[in-house]
Amino acid sequence: MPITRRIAGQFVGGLIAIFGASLIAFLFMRVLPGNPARLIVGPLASEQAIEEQEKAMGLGQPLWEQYWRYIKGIFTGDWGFAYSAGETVRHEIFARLPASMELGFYAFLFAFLLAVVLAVASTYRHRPVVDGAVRGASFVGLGMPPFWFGLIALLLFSQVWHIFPGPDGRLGQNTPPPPTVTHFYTFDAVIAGQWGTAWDAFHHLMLPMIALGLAPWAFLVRLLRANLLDISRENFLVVVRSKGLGRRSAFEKHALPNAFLPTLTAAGLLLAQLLAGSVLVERVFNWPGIGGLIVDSILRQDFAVVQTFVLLSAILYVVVNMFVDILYGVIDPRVRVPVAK
Amino acid sequence: MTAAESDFVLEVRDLETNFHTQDGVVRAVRKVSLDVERGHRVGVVGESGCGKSAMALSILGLIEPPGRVAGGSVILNGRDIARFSDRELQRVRGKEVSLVFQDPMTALDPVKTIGAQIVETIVRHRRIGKRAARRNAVELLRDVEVPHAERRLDDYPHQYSGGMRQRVLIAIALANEPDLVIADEPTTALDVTTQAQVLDVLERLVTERHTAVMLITHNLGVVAEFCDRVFVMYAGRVVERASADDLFARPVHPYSEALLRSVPRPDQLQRGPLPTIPGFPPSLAHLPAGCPFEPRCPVGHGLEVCGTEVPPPVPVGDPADPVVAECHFAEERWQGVTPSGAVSEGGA
Repeated sequence: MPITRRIAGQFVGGLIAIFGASLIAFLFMRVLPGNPARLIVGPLASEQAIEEQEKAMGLGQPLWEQYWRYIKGIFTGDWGFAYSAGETVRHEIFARLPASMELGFYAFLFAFLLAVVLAVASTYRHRPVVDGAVRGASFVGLGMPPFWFGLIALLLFSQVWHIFPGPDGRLGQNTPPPPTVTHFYTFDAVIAGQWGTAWDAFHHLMLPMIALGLAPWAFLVRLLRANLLDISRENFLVVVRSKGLGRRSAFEKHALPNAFLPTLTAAGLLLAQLLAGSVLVERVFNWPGIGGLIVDSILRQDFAVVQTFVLLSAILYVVVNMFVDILYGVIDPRVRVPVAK
Repeated sequence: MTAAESDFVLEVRDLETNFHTQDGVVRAVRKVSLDVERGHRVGVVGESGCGKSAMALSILGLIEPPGRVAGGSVILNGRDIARFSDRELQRVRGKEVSLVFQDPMTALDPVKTIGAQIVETIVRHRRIGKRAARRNAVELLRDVEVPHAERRLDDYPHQYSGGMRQRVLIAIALANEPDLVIADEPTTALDVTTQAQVLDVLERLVTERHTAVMLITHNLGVVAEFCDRVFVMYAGRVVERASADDLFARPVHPYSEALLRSVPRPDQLQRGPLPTIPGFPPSLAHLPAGCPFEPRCPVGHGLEVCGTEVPPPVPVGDPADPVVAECHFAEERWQGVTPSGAVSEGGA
């Protein structure tokens, strides 16, 4: 199939997915029991105050009109008002985005690097013990809820052994944030030459990074390990070795590139895991990111925040997967180059 | 030729390769000895699973766990490469001895270009620039008769047909003009016309370069056409070694004879099913006490000596160039006195 048609097909599919996500987010918040207006104005407010609040939120309007306002708002930048935070949704999200992105970035890095190292270690030679340990750990990683791992880690490494700081956000209480450049505290501190701050930021990142990265790591290591095992049985590796290449160059030049290709496709799934995991992990570690905001907003039926978050996540997810698919086509010659006539 | 360099490019002595599996030790290669004369072509024939490929990989030192070369020597150009470390072997593989792999569809890396995969073996063994290596690769592709060689150098394996890929594998094997090419079932995966073309290419190139070839196959027609000497393998042993002429005219081992009989021959237009060898080869993990072929043998089945004693190699015929067969009745069969022998029949 020509690559332009593939991309066009994916684009249409992506639009449908985003539309579906927006609809579900919208309707789900509407059918939940409870009155958000009452939650906002408080238990002592008069009926009239509640009515006014409902009106201000557009709750009395027909559903399709509310939905239309929601979609239009997303594209015009009017994402609504976060009553629980007392700010516009846009302000809230952008204020909290860097914390989430920094955590997500490190969690991904942790998951990816560790997965590559351990998958290679468990398949490069016949090492039953290493392999068994890696497989066991990946089972635990897949099965353990990230927030629960976070709680246990906090209990042990912070409360009992004092190796890592407790759940006090991105920095210790006495550390001022570094001057803003990239919004990532670790990077900004290094840029400003504040090594103490950089360490403090990274020290705070480590436990949540592991908690959030554990499931993606487990997923990746299993995938990569299986791919490497499959590839290591491939005949072309025997041929490569028969040319006089060493075991290591055969592995690096031929086995790894082949094993990585299918892993790329999994990147989209990883993003989903990171997004979902972040909601509770951030709560556990008091991380001032979007995840914490979402938990609060769901509890208080803060429509606008949840709707916006779901839609933005869907868009991000679709865009990343589309990008991955296009990238796959560029990297894998079997997709990129058509078979000769 | 120096004194140290014998007439043989390869001498394999008592090579043993075992695979350690859950069902026990699979003895894939059991004290196999064979030689390849410089510039000559030998065939190694036998059923699937008789240890042919394991032997080829053992010679190259490419047996991977759970397999292990347990003993014997592999003397290539006068040096025992069975004692070489992998690092030392890397300088030998692809330069002095190379491999044409059996399945062209899976023998090339799908994400590297054909050119890159040929250049890889050239630059591994020669001090040569990228440009020159590339020119060399184009020449090699022309040599193996890939049309539009220059243009097709940057194609990927999936853009090549099976026959063309097999030619690429031949080009890779011959890239550094080795003394010996081990061709493991080089034509099995191809259709008959393509088989003939690929064999022609291989034959022409090794003749031009005086390269010795060890052709591993179960196709006796190919052996008859291509080889001067034949080693018949059964259950991990060489059960008969003979010149191609002798083997096709007077097969001594009953297994060799049975193999020859199960080849369809257009000059014998009798209808009816093709003769087959009844039964299956023995499990290489649980070998019988006597001759491994005894349970299937038309000559020796049920005889006490065949069931209990492993037959020694028996040389028969011309003492200067004997046929050696591992059969208790080798001498009688060579003389043509055993009843079930088809020894008086004409050769192929």
